[in-house]
Amino acid sequence: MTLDYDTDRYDAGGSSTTPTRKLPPSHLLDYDTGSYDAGGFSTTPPRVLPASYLITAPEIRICDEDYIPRIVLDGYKNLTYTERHRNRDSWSFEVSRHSVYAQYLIKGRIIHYVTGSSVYALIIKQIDATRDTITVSGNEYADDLLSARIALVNVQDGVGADEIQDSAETAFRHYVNGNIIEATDTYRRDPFLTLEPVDYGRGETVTISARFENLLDLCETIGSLGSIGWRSVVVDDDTKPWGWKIVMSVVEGNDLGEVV
Amino acid sequence: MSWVILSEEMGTAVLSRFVDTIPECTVAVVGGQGEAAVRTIQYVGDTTLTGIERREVFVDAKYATTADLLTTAGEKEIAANVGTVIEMQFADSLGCVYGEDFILGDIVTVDAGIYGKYDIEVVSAEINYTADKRDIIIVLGSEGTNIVRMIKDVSKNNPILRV
Repeated sequence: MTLDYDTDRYDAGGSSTTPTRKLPPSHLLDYDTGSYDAGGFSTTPPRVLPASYLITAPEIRICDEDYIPRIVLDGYKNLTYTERHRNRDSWSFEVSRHSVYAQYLIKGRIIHYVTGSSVYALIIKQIDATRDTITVSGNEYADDLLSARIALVNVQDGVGADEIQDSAETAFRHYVNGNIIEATDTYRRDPFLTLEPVDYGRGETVTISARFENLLDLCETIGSLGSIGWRSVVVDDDTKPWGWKIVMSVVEGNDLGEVV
Repeated sequence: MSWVILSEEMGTAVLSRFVDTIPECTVAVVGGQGEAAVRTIQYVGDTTLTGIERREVFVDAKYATTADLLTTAGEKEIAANVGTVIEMQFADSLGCVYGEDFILGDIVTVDAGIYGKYDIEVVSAEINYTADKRDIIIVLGSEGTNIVRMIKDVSKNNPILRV
């Protein structure tokens, strides 16, 4: 997938079926009633939903021990995925204990969660098996990786803390980069996680001093102070033996009140 | 392997619940005495772990005056996060009687089918008496760990699991 810097979206190569959302022509919108006026041709406007509202069940691909997504899970139920702007996404689903897939659902395994044209990497953190049902749950991989690191840069140098005063995006990238992606101790790095190539300097200016804080808590603080969040998606990477990597990007919400 | 084997296949017990969770701490970064840049820091655990398997937690142990005390503080943090709990329905049989052949605190072997075999500690036993026999629900896990606590911990991290 390639990155379209105009839209901040990863382009799946023209295969996306999600149309661009457009506002209806202004003359068709009745602001008093909040309904659409069909222009005199019909008093009952047809209920039209954008194609993105069409719901298809996400696909779950279980990675093998070499991180290659080989098995497509069939027959899961009660899937719940909770997205969080500034914290760990969490998820769970159930499968029958007698399912042929049960043997592949092992804690620590990575699964790819495919919804629409986006792919997310998830980590299985808990298997809870009862007599009939296995409940599998966990977090989004990159979010969970943040929670698995603490701020260790410069804790034994200078003032004993890693300080920065810059835009929230730059601060966010600084701590993720220093404690994971280019960590001095190479064991602290991760084979999958990368940052978006360009720092846009988004968000408000923040002043942060970090010393032993959990990295997820630190990023949550930066996000709250600087009005940013983050998302991570899976993209193809032929340089990796397993063929994919995770790209973490800073996101800003839009003030939709300014549209009208 | 213990000579007490709880196994569905062998007919000695029925697996009623198996909870296996990633530990929240595999590398403890223990802070000892001193301030700022001169503070003593000791790493405890397998520091060669990498990726998502490396899960760092900071342990504040200002009281620790020796390297051994720092290590102990780190080991305690790691041990508190062992994450396998197994619940089995057990009925006394000629070959194995709870209270005689094994008791709380014993390490027994559990064959959890597709989840593998574990040598694991008996941490609780709920005994239900009926007219002519008793049914026992045995919970096995690490010391200080039980299903309720584990589920609470996971629920805290995954609010969708809250009931």
